[in-house]
Amino acid sequence: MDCGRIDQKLHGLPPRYPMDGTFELTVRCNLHCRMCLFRHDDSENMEICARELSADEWIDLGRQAAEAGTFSLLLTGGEPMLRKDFCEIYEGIYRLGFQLTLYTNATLVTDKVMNTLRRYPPHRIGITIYGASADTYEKVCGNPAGFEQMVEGVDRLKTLPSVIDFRTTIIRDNYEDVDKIEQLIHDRWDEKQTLTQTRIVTKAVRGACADAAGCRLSPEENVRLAYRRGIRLIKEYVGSEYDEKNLGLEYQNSAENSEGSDSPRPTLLGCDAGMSSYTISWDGKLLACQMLGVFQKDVREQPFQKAWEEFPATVKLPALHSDCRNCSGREICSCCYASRFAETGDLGGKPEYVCSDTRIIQKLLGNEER
Amino acid sequence: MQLSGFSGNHKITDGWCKEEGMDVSVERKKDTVREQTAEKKYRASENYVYRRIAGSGVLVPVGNQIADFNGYVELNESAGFLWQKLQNPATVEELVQALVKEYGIPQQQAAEDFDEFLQMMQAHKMVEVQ
Repeated sequence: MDCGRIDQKLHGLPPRYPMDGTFELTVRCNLHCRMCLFRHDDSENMEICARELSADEWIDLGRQAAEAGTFSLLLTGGEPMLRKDFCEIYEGIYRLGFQLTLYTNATLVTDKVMNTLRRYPPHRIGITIYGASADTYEKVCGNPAGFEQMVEGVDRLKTLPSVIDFRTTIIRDNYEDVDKIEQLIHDRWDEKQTLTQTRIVTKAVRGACADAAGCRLSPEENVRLAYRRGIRLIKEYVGSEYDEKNLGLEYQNSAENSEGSDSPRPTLLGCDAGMSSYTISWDGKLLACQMLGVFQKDVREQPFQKAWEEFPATVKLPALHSDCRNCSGREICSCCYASRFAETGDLGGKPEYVCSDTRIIQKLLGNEER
Repeated sequence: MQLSGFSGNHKITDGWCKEEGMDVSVERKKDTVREQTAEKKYRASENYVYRRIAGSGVLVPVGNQIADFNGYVELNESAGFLWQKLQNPATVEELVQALVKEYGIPQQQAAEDFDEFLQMMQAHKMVEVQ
C-alpha cells in the first residue's frame, strides 16, 4: 500500500462522515422485473444465499455504522422481505436509532412482517409499483399475482404511521400504465400522493441479469414522458395557466463539470457517494453507491470505520471521453461515473443513451446554444 | 449556557421530515415547573434514541412516537447533558444541581433554563414522569 499517496489524497478532502447509509440486505427478489438493476439470475440464488451477510452480521454492522455516525439508513434489496430473517435483522437495526427508510415492492407483507413493523414502524417506506393490473405485472415482473399482492401489501403498510412514498420505473411494457398507477394511488390510498418515476433506466449493474437496453423506452419516449409528467406537476403546484414555454434548465454543479466554478465542492465521484453516503452490499462490501461496485472495501475483513476511512484510496478515475469533456450539454447531462460504467463498462465512457436524452432535452427547451 | 438552543429539524443532512419543524414556542407559565413538580421524578422517554452525529447530539423518535413527530431534534451540549442525566429517574432539584455543578452557573439561572427545557420536553412527550 502506498501510504504517502493515500495521505496526500485524504489531505485534500474535507471531513467525511458516513451519515447516509444503505444496507442492501439481498439482491434476490420474488419479482423478476425486466429492467431490474440488481437482481442476479435465479441460477445464482444458492450461491448468493451462501454468501449473504447473516442477520447477526447485519445487526453488528448496524451497530458499527451507528457508532461511526450514520444517521439515515435505507434497508433495501432486491426485496428485503424475501429474507426469512428479515424481521430479526430489521428489529435489531431499528433499535439502534437510525432514521430508517425501507424500500419494498409490498408483495410480501405477511402477518409476521406487519407485527414487526407495527412495533417498530420505519420513518419512511418507499413502495415501488410496476403497473396497474395483473396483466402489466406479468409483462414487467413475470408475476401476475404480484399486482393483487402489492395492493394488499400497500393496504397494510398504509396502516402504519410511516411516511409512504410511491415509486415506479417505466419501460415499454408498462408505458401505458403510468397514469393508471397514479390513479390507483389517488383512488385507493391518498389523493395527494405523487408518484416518483426513475428518470433514466440504466443497464443492470454489479452482475445483475436484466436486459434493460432491450426493454427501456427510446430516449425520445422517455424525455417526452418525463416532460409531460413534469409539466403536469408544475401546473398542479402553480396553476393550469402556467405557460410551459417559460420552463428553463437548472444547471448542475458537479465535480465533473465544475470547471470555472468559484468554489468547486471536493468529492470523490462528483456527488455525495463516498463522502457522506455509502452502501453495504449483500455480500459485505462497502461501496460508495449501490450502483457502482468498482471501488470497494470488505467489511467482513475489517471494521466499518476503518473501511470507511480507507475507502478514498480505492478510487481511481480515468479521464472522461473527449466528447463528454467538450459537450455543450455536460451541465445538464444526468450521467455520473456509476451510470457511465453501467452503460459502457468504462468509468470514463460515453453513454450514448444518456447523450441522446441530453440532446433531446436541449432541443425541447431550446437550449442548444448554451 | 443556552438550553433553549434546543431546536427541531436542524439540517444535519439534506434531511426529510414529515413535519417541517417542531414547535418549541411553549408558552412559559407564571409558576415555574420546578415549583410545581419538586417531588416528581423524571426520566427520558424510551420513544427517543439519543445519537451522536458528526459531533452533534440528535434525538430520533422511534416506535409509534413517529405518528406524532416524524423528524429529528438536535440538542445543544447542555440539553444533551440533561438528556444523559434523564436516563435515570431524577427530581428537578437533582437535575438543576447537576447543571450548576457541570457548568458553574448560578442556581437561579440553572433553574430557569431547566424550566424551559422541561416544558419543551414534556410538550413533545420526550420525558416521562415517574
